[in-house]
Amino acid sequence: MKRLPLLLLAILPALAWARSDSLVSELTSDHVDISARYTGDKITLFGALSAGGQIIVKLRSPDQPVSLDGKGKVGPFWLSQERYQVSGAPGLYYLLSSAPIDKLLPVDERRRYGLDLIDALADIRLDPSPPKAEGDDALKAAMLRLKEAHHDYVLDTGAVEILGQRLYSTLIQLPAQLPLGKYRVDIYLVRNNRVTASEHQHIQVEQVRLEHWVSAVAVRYPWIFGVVFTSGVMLLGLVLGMLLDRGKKA
Amino acid sequence: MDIFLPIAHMDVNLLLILMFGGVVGFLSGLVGVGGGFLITPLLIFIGVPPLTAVATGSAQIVGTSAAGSYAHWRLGNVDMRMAFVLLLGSWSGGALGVQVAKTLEEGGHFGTIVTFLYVGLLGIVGVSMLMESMGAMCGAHSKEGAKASRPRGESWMARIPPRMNFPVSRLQLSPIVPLIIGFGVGILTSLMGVGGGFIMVPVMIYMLHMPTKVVVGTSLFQLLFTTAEVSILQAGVNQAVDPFLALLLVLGSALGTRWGTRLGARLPGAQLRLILALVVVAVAVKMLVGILIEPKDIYSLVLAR
Repeated sequence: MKRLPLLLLAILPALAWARSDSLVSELTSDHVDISARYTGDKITLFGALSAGGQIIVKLRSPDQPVSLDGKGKVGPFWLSQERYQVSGAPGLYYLLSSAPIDKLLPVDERRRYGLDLIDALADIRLDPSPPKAEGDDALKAAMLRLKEAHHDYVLDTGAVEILGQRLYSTLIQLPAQLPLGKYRVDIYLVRNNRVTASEHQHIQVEQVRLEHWVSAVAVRYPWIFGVVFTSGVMLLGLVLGMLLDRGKKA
Repeated sequence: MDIFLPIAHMDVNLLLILMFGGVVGFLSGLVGVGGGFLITPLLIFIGVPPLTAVATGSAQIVGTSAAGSYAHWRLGNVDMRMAFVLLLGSWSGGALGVQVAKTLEEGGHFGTIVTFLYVGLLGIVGVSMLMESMGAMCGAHSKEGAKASRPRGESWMARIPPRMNFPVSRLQLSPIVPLIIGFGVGILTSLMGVGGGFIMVPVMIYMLHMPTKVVVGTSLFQLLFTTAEVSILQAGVNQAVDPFLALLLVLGSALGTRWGTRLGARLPGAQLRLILALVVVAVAVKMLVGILIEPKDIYSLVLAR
């Protein structure tokens, strides 16, 4: 973080050469390692723009399959009535900007770049497909509501700071629970109701060491995992019993 | 201190889980019952997906019952022939139950079914423990029930063919009876993550009339291998056993049980059973309330495996 101003100084001359609008960006870290003690991470995105304007940052994680449960009243009870498997929806979707996005860009421009939260759900597939009368709009709305409540989909129109019209920075806060894989961060420069330049970065999110190995084995070789783990627990129980027993006699 | 659970897909406080294991182990040490029927609801309360809670619960029981089973086996308190017949039943029940769990989970109904099963089971167990402990505390303890059921039980069960000899239990009994009982316990283990000792022990004493000395060893022995089978199947078929969660629970409950056993020897039994009964009833009521009040949002998201 201390090197941030220095880096920016290095970037500025490069921009001076650019004739049309352009921007550059840098992340304080381009990878996140998830271990058992991982409880979230913060990454700063910063950069410079060639001309005055506003900045919109879009972060999209890899897709994360979820199931959407709908409850209904059965007699006096509230019970699960329907379950949809949802695929094609990103686990995280952040829209961070320096000003309200709906004031910066018209609808069609926003849709083109996916700059409304609902655009995250543009390509989702529901299994089984919902009844026609209901359509998937109600389900999409419910899913967006839940994702927002969970802070998985975030719209923060004051998150990007612009300094002296030429520099910008924002803090990307990643939650404790997040999908693995390659995240894409798009940065858009907006002037006169138009996107005039864009840039992108990647963040690689990986599980490391023991945790990665354990979950990979448990998912890829479930039967071997089941047998080995169950015998292991049995052995552990025996050893613990003996240790505590010895402690009792001593 | 948070830890990420790779199968449950969530963060939990490490100490909280150790404490769960500890408290449940403590209670079971105090009173002398297994605590599987408390672990699973507690896990569900903190947000562990129901299927993972149930599957991990059975893996945890493998760990907590291993030492006891071994000790009883060394002492010769296990009726091997009876245990084998029971296991034939419970393994089939367990295998069927795990498939049923898979089907229910795919339809999104597993959570609902588990809640109902628990409200029913904990309600029955809690209320009968309440009545028993209150009766014992009021000095109205009597063994009339046990005496009255004895001849009746023997008469109809003894008539079922074919007859098989169980020399360690000094019994002649049709293998169909333990097969059916085992089958039921296997289903319970796979759908609820409990060992089923609270059913097996009274059934062995009052219905099968096995000698008390053999009852504890044999039920513990069959419970160990039933939960082991179910744990393997839950991992293999449903990929629902969370290793970190199970290990923490085993560690916690091993320590808790030891404390509980020590303290239990010095405290009055009826009062202790009353405390446990109140805990059990409270858990049942909380689960019931959970499905009675209207949810804030009728939709909810669950991470797919």
